Amino acid sequence: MSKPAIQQRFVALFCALILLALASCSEDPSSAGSDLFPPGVRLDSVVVYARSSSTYRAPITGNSHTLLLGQYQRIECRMLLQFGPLNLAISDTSILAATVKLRRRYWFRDSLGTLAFTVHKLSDSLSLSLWNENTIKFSETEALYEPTILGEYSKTMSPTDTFVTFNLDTALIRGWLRDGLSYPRGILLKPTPASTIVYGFTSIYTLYEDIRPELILRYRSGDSSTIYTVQEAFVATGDSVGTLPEHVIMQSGLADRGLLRFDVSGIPRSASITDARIEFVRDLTMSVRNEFSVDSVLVQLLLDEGSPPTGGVSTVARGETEGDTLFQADAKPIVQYWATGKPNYGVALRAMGEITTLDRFAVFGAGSIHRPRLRIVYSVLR
Amino acid sequence: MKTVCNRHDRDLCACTLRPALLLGLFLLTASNVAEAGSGGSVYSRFGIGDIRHYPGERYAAMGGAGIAVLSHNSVNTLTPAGWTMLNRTRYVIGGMYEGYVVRDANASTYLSSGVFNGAVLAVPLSMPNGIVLGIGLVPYSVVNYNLMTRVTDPLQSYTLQYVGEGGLSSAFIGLSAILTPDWHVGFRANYLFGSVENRILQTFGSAQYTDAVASHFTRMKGLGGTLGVIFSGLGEALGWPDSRSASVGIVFDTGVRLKATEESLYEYSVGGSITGRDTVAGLSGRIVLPISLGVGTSYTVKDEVVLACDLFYQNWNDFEAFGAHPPELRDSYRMSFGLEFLPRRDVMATYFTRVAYRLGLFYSADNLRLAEKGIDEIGLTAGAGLPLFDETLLGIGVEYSLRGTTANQLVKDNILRISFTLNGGERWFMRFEEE
Repeated sequence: MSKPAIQQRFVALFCALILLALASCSEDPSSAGSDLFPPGVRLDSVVVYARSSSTYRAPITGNSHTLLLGQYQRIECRMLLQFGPLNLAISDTSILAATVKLRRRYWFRDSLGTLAFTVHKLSDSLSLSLWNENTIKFSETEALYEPTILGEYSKTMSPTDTFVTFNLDTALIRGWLRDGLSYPRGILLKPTPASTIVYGFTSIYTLYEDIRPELILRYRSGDSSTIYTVQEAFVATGDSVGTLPEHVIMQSGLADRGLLRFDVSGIPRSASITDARIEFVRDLTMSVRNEFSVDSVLVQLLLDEGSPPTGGVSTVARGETEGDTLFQADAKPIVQYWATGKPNYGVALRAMGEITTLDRFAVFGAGSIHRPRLRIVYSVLR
Repeated sequence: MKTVCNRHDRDLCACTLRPALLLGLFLLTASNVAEAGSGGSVYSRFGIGDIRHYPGERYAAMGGAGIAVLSHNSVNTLTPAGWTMLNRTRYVIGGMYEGYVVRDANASTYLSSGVFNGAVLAVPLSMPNGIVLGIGLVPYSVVNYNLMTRVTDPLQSYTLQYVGEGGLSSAFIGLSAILTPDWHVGFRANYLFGSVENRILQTFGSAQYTDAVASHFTRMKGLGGTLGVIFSGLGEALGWPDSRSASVGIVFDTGVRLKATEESLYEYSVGGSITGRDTVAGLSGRIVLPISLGVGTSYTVKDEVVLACDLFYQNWNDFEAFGAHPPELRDSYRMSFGLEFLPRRDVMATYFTRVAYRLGLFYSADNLRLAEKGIDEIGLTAGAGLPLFDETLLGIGVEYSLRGTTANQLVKDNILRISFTLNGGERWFMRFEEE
């Protein structure tokens, strides 16, 4: 290679290396020049009080891992059980006894009380598709069962009672065998006025455990078989509290929920909600709870007018300590949603044990001096 | 005039094209690599950013003076009238390193970036008539700043970071022509386009609070034109001998009415997880870039020494963005002086005698007036045109300038710009003479 060619290539390589070396010389940015930016970004804080509050009933379906049964004050909980298919090959005369076994996991309100109910057969005239554990409501149960009482149960319960068992008339089982597979092999347990307590029974079926209500059949041969439920539900009814000007009631089991509306139109569009907390005060005198209570309230963003919340943005409000009256929750995602211009239908308040307990949370509403509020810190980035 | 290219030339063209293109691609890649973690002058936040005055590698090293300079081998992007003497198809591609010491009364930092510095293709269609077709893409303005400040607020302390990126590019197509032996004219149409992003990042050091990023975009596009005229017979008119010549030139830019739209994107996150987004449409309307006018003169001795001087004006007082004139913008002036010395042109000369050495200086009253003070810039330039292969040159330019002041809560920039430009030449559209 000639000398000029070597010189030329050396020059080109030298320039390229300088460019690459210089590229790595940068420092981290500093505040130099920040005075040239207008002080447009600052934190503002505002307290927004609830504009309105109300209680509304959103009847829950009974599909829960805790099946409630019994009566407490004016709340009645019924249980529906539909068992899996029987072995049609067995002779109906071979059945010696039939027993239903329920495993207790909850009571309300005290552990001591009378659990009393009657057993009814789900109507033969109904096809399997007419009731669904995911949609059944209390009002639909009247047409579901036959009024004839097939059995009764009444007992003064104590904390040591981990199971509730009762016998079914074998004639009912024989009838199911005759009916074949097309009819629901189900019963409805209906509390009687003598009941002063509500019990909750386990209904869990996962890959790892199967704790569903059982129907145990004993045969004359000495053998026995266990049939689990394929559908199970509880439904409840009770007086509605209606609209109380100073309170919002969250009644589990039924379920009554609270609705709070806040006017956050004073927060500029697209503001960053740096911090936001929703606060409300529980009225202990109107609240009812026991040792199973989940001392939390689910605060759920409403995405539509009047429709029950389904998933979406939610947060859990708790007190600083168990039994505290002041409930607080992180409401940043909720207020941020509104601040980005999306419609504001308010938030729903739901007891955390809404489908597993009979807890009652009473919180002061918009008409009270302890009205719910949002504490918001925001900043506008312009 | 009959232009020919023999077989030897063709072979030479083929063998020099590949390394030249490779080097060009390298320059582009290197400039993009350098862009990571970049930053620049806070002044680029105003208006449509820092206005680029980049007339081509040769003229940039001469302080930016070139309105009246004709060249055989360098494409003048200041004025299309400067293309008439090109005797080869020229392709030019460049990258630039920019380093800024940004200093105010309280803090300073060094920020740097690499930027694409334009690509131009100039094709002589009729050399006797000076008809040259020029196509190119060059930066018109650049927004590039990055600063961070800690805000102590009674409610909660946080960090604010301001980042600006983007700018306007000018894609042009134009023609030059020789009207009479001494009158050179050129016109080019400029399509300006680009977007500017001004971003604010608010960061708290705790997952308890929401971090936010607000990105404000302005997208712009519009059409304008540039007309240039050079009179190269000034020396003759003054009765100077043939060894000395002088030219005067003028260039006028029509300005552009840009169609512009604004949009803001907001992103909120807590503990690194995005919790919300929002998009808000902003203003839609016109951004009016003002006209500009430049005059220049050049003086050449024995084809070895070139002296050039330019004065450039742009009436930024007429700048409008969405119907309003930003109060911080004022008319800008720039005065440039440049010198080039090329000892030898013949290929048999030693390598360093074939290198073109350039010097220049400039003073610019920029288009900004902040805190009752005009932002001015003064700088020195130097550079060299290094022969690489046959008609291919590597232009190196170094510019060091001072801009602004730390008084009145303003910023002083010490700016270092190093540009690398590959300037290749080939014969296109010319008949080959068979041996």
